[in-house]
Amino acid sequence: MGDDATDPELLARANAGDAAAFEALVKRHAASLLRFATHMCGGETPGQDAAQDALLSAWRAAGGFRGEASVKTWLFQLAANACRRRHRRKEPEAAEVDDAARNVPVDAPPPDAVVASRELGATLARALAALPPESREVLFLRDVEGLSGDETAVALGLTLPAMKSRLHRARLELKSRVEAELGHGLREELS
Amino acid sequence: MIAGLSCEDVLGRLSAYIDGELRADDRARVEAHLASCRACDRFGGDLTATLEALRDHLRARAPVPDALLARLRESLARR
Repeated sequence: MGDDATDPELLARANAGDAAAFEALVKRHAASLLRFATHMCGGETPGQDAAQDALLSAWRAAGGFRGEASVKTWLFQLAANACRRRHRRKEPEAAEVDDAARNVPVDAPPPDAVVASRELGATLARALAALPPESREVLFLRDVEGLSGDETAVALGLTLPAMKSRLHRARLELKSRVEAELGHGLREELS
Repeated sequence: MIAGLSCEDVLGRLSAYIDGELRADDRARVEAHLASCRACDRFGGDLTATLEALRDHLRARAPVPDALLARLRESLARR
């Protein structure tokens, strides 16, 4: 049961108390939500906590889903809210480095393509982690998760023009931070 | 000014250009500017490369820890 059901069908069953249907929905989206929350909250443990908060909110609020956005967008909206609540609780926020970036081995083996790729991934994660939360969330949803402009705006509670403006600034800031660390543009790094 | 656009005009349109949101005439002017302005072409290329690398490197799908699902099941069961 569940694999062929659409997201709204699973959510409707969850609203009727069907925990198995809810778990099928969770399994479909938890990896994306967890990835988003981990990068938004600055680590795996707070990311898991925020993802769990978001999923519990979804379970409790299943009846309130109006179908104006996709279930996936609605879940990201709940995850973004859970992460924002955590940010507010621990203000002022230091520019934290994601655990995934921090755990990259310092004494890496001799340079090769894999090591270079891993280091670039760590550079990008650090640059993203250093951005303000409102820049990080819009970049992650639009450019990593691949939500559409409309979906990203809905998930973050922004108008479309406000989302686009914030996204543009965030992209330029990310580029600037990555280049400050590398000492040059990324095209040169990849060529 | 190249193709009727300053470098600042192009910078302000880069995100919309990358996302394919410009009208055809505006897109053509941006492309004409990029074709003749080395600085803007390099800037735009680096921005595109940064966003592609961000997606490629951070989109890796980590498995959802069993502990998270177990905690969630416990919370649901308590309801």
